[in-house]
Amino acid sequence: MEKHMAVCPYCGAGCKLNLLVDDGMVIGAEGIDGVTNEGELCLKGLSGFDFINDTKILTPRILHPMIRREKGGELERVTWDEALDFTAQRLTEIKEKYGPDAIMLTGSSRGPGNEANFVMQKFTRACIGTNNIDNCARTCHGPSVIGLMDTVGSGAMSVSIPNLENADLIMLFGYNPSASHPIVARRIVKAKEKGAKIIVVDPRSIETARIADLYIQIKNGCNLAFMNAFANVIVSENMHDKAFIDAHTNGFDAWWETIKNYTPESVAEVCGCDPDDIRKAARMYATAPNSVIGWGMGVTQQRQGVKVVHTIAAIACVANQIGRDNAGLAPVRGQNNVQGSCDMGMWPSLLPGYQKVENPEMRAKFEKAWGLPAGALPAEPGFKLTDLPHGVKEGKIRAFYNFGEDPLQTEPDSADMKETLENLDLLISQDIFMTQTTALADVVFPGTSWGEHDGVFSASDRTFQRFTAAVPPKGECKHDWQIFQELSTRMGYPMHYEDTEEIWNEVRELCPNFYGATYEKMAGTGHAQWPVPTLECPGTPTLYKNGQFNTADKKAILMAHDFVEPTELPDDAYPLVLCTVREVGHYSCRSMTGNCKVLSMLADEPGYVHINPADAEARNIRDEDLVWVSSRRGKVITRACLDERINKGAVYMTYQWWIGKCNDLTMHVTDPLSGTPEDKYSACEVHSIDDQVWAERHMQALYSALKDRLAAEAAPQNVAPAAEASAE
Amino acid sequence: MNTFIAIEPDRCIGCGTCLAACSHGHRVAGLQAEPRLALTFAPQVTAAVTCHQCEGAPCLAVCPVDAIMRTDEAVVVNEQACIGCKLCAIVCPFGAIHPAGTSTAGVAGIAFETPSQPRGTSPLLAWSIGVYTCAVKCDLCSTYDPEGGPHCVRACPTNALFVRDATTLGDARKDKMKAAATANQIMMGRSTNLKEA
Ligand code: SF4
Ligand code: SF4
Ligand code: SF4
Repeated sequence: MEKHMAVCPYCGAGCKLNLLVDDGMVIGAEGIDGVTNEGELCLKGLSGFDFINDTKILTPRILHPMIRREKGGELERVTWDEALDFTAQRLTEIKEKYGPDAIMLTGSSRGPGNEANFVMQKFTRACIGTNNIDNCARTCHGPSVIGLMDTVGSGAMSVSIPNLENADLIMLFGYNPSASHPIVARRIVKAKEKGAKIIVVDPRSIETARIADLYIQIKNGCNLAFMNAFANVIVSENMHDKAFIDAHTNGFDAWWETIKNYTPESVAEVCGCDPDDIRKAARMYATAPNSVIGWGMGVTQQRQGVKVVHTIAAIACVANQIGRDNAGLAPVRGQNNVQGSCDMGMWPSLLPGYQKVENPEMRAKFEKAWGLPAGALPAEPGFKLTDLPHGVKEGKIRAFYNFGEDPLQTEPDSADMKETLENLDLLISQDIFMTQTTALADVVFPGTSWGEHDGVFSASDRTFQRFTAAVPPKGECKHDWQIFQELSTRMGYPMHYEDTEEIWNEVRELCPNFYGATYEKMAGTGHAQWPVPTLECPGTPTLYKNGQFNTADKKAILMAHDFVEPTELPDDAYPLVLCTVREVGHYSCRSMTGNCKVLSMLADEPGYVHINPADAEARNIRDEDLVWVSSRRGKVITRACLDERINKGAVYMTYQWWIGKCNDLTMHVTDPLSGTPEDKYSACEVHSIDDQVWAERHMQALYSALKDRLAAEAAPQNVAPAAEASAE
Repeated sequence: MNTFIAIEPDRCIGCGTCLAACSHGHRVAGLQAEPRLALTFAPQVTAAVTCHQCEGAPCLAVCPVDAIMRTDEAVVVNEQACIGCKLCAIVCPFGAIHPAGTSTAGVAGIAFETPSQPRGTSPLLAWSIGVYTCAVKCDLCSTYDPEGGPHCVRACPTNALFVRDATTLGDARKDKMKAAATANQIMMGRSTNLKEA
C-alpha cells in the first residue's frame, strides 16, 4: 500500500491527509499533522475519497471528450484534437462576431487547485481578451471579500484558524461551523475548554449555541439592524478605543451619524430579541482582551451582505479587536479553494494577487510578463457570475465556459438558470462528473480529478498548502491546465507549461504577496500563509498588526448603512421563511461526496426540511414524513425533520439535494453591491402529503430517473470514435 | 468489567465522523455497513449513543439462536447466524441495537427501491422487498480490527468519545469529583438562554 500526501478537497479548513492507494485504487484516507487540522479529519475528509474510483453511485465520471455538433443534438465522443479544434473554432467565431466580452468563464474553487485557475484566467485575459471571469465566491463569501477590501483592505480572514483557540471571546454571527467546517468547530470547542467566552447570534440554535455563554436567537433577515445596535452599544457605553480610532481609522463621525440612531430598543422588534442581550453581547465582546467575530453565509447570502460586512469590520476597528493574533475577523470560507480562486484573480475586477485590473501599472506588469503588446489587457471589470442570466437574456453573453462547477444545482432559481444555459450559443463544461450542468453542455472536457493531479490550495485563512497526485489519470482525462493551454495555443496565444511548479513560479513572480511561497517551503506538511513577500518570510498568520490596514493611507475606513428588510417577506400564501443551509456530510453540488459509499449511505435524497414542531403540527406533518415545499418559483418533495432547535416561522433546507432541491424555490435577487443571491431569505409554504407510500415511491422514481438520465448522457463516451467510423 | 464507549456531550459537534468511521471499518471487513452508533439531537444535548456492552446483556439473553455472544472484548453479533427476529433490539435499554440490511436496489440492472411503508415507521417494523435484515451493534471494532481499537474514538475530531474501561472509569470518577469541587461554579454560571421550543 502506498501513501500520497494531499489536502482535503472539501472545505476551507485545509486539512492535510494521506490518500491510501492499493493496486491503483484509492482505498482510504488518514489525517496527517497539518497546521490547521493537527491530524484530525471530519467525515468528508475521512470517507470522501472513493469518488475518484468512479463508483457510479450517483453519476458517472467523464473519461473522454465529447461534443454536440449542433444545439439539442446528441453528445458524441471525439478525439481530443477534434474536441479542442471544434471549441477553439466556435469560441473564435463568437469572439469575432460579438467581441471578447460575449464570452464568460467561471473558475473552479474545488479540486483543480490554484495553478489550473491561474492558467484559466490567463487564457481569459490574454487570449480571449475579457475580464469576464468569476468564481463561486460570488454566491458565498463575495460580500466578505468586497466588504473587507472596502474597509480594511484585504478580503480574507485576519486571524489564522489555529489561533482561534487562544481567543478570549469568540462571537459567531450567522455561521454554523459544526456543519460547515467541523475542524474549525473543533478549535472553538478547544477555545471554550481553555476558558474563552462564546457568543452565538443565530436564528437557529446551532451546535455551538449549546456551549455558548450567551446565545441570542434573532429573527431571520435582521443582521444589519442587530449589528448597528451592537455597534451603538459599544460607543454609547464608551467602550470604543478613541486613540485607536483617531490613529488608525477614517470616517468615525459620519459613521456615528448613522449608528447613533440604532439603540437596542429601536431594533428589538425587528431582531426579535431582548435589547439587554444585545448590550450584554456588546459588553462581552468589547471588554474581552482578545475577541474574534466569525461569520458565514448567514451574513453574506442576504440582501445587505456587503453592508453587514462593512459594519462588522467597523465594530472590530472601533473596539480595537483587530490586528492581534487572537483578535480579529474570521469570515471562514466555504469551499476548499475558494480563497485560492480569489487569490488567482478569478474575479472580474482583479488580476492574480488582488491587483486591480483598473490600475494601468498592474496591467502593464502583466502585459510585459505575458508577452503582450501594451494595452492588450482589458481594463474594464467584467461580468459577475450572477450577471449570467440577464446577460444571456439581453444577448450580451453568448458563450459560457463552466469549469468544475454545477450552477444548475448551486445557483438560485434553477428553472431560470436552465433556460439561461439552454439559450447560450455555446456551453463548455470541464468537469470530472456528468452533472446536471454538464448534461446540457455542447462541449464536455474531462479534467483530472483531485487525487490525479498536483497543485496548491489556499485554505480559508490564507494558508497555501501543496497536494499531490495519488493515482494516474483515468481514461483520457487531461490536467485542467493542459486543456486550457492547448485551447489557448489553438486560439493564437501559445502556452507551454511543463508542470504545476512552473505555473506556480509564474504566480509567485507576478504576485509580490505570494513570492515566498515556494514548492520547497510547502513540501510535506509545510505551508505558507500569505502575505509571504520574501523567501525568508515564514508567512503571516495575522493581518493588520499595529493598526496597519491594507488601504492607501494604512487607515481603516468606517462605513455604516441603514437597515432594509429582506426582499420577499412571508405573506398568507407563503407564510414561512426559507433559509438554505448545508449538509455536514456532503459538499457543494454533491457530485463528489454523492459518489462516495459511506457518505452517500449516511445521507441521501431527498434530504430534509427542518421545521419547528409547532409549525409542523399546524400542517399535520409528522417527523420523517415526505412533504411538498413550494414557493413562487417552484415546488419540490423533501422529508420533514421536526426540530426543536429551529425558530418558529422559518424552515431550513440543505442545498446538496438534486430531488429535494431548494434552489428550485429560491429567488434570483442579489445584493447589488456584490451580486450575491439572497439565499437565506425567501418565502415558502410546506404541505403535508396524505399518501406517504405513494410519496416514497414517487421520490424514488424521480431520483432513479435523474440518475438514469445522467448515465444516458454520459453513455456516448463509451463508444470510441474509431469504432463508430468502422461501423458505418 | 465491561468496556464501552462514552461521550462528553459538550464536545460533540454532531458531525457524524464517528458514524463514517464505524461504517467504513465494518464495510471493508465485509460486515453490514450500517453504523453501530447513532447521533441524538435534543435541544440542549447532542450525543452519539452507543452500546454499553452490559454485563447482564439482555440482547444476548433473549437471542433465540445464540447469534449474540460475549467475547473477551465485547458482546458481538454473528451476522451469519442472526435470523433478523429483532428481539434484541426490543430489549436493549439504550436503543443501541437495530436491524439493518443491504438493499440490492440501485445495483446496476436492478430496479430502484420500492418502499412499502412511510419512512417514519419504526425501524423494528420497517421492511423492504428482498432485503434480509440482521441485528447490528457495537463490537468495539474487535471482530475485525482488535489491534486498532474502536475506530470512532480515533476518528472523532473533537475527542468527544472515550473508551471507558476499569482504569479509565476509576480515573474519570476521581477527575470528576475534583472537577465538581472546583468547576461547579463555572457550570452554574453558564447561561445559555436557549428558548424552550
Ligand atoms: S471537509 Fe473541511 S473540516 Fe472536513 S476534513 Fe475536509 S478540510 Fe477538514
Ligand atoms: S465524531 Fe465526535 S463530535 Fe462528531 S458526532 Fe461523533 S462524537 Fe460527536
Ligand atoms: S467501537 Fe467500533 S463498532 Fe463500536 S461504535 Fe465505535 S466504531 Fe462502531
